[in-house]
Amino acid sequence: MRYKAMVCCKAGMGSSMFLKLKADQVISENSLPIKTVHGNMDTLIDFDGDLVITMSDLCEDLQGKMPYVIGIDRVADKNEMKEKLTKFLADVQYAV
Amino acid sequence: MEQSFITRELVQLHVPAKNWEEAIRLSADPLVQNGICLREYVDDMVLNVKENGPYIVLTDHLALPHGRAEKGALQTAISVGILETPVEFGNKTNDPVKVVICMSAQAGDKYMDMLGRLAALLEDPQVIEDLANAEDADKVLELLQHC
Repeated sequence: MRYKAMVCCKAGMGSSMFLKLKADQVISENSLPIKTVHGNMDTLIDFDGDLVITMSDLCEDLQGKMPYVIGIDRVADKNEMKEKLTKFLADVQYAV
Repeated sequence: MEQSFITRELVQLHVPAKNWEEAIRLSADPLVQNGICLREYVDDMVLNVKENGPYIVLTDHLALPHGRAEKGALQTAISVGILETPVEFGNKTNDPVKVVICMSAQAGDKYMDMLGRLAALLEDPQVIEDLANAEDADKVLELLQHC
């Protein structure tokens, strides 16, 4: 099983690409079963995956609209990313 | 040899910004002066924050302003502004900003290459602290030598 995540920010330019790079790095270093795609608020509407990874200030807007939302405070921080992705995996496995 | 996205004329120390908008405009100015982006592209960096909020403060004390390529990014490069006094951008977790790295970016591999190098570099909070405390442009260039 591989979970599908969309990485996005409001505009979908620089910051979300930065966030995706960081997410991919953490996913690969820890062999997490997650695959990411890049998107923005427009492409998010049609997203049928499991998880949205975004900046924490956008997180509130998306809560309840998406299956699972991770909001990142410090985009450059690998530990925060790892903690939140690991928690996602624990949460979804419990839910099954 | 790997291509560099930063040169000495794109580095400024003691940037006298009094607020977040000045911090962006002053730090981005060398990009305009050196023909790397148009003034309109810098306007778009500011507009992005007005419309979308201070999420460009990506980590403690660091802002990474950028605009939409079609607004006038002519080349892919970064300018660096070390602020004289830290400035509030309104970001809950990462304020105040001490270092502003402005990106002029055209879509494509070169842009992804630059982002990748920045992402690797900025992983270490000490690098941002060292940038904030740099005494001259040489030190800034040394810290960013792989960018």
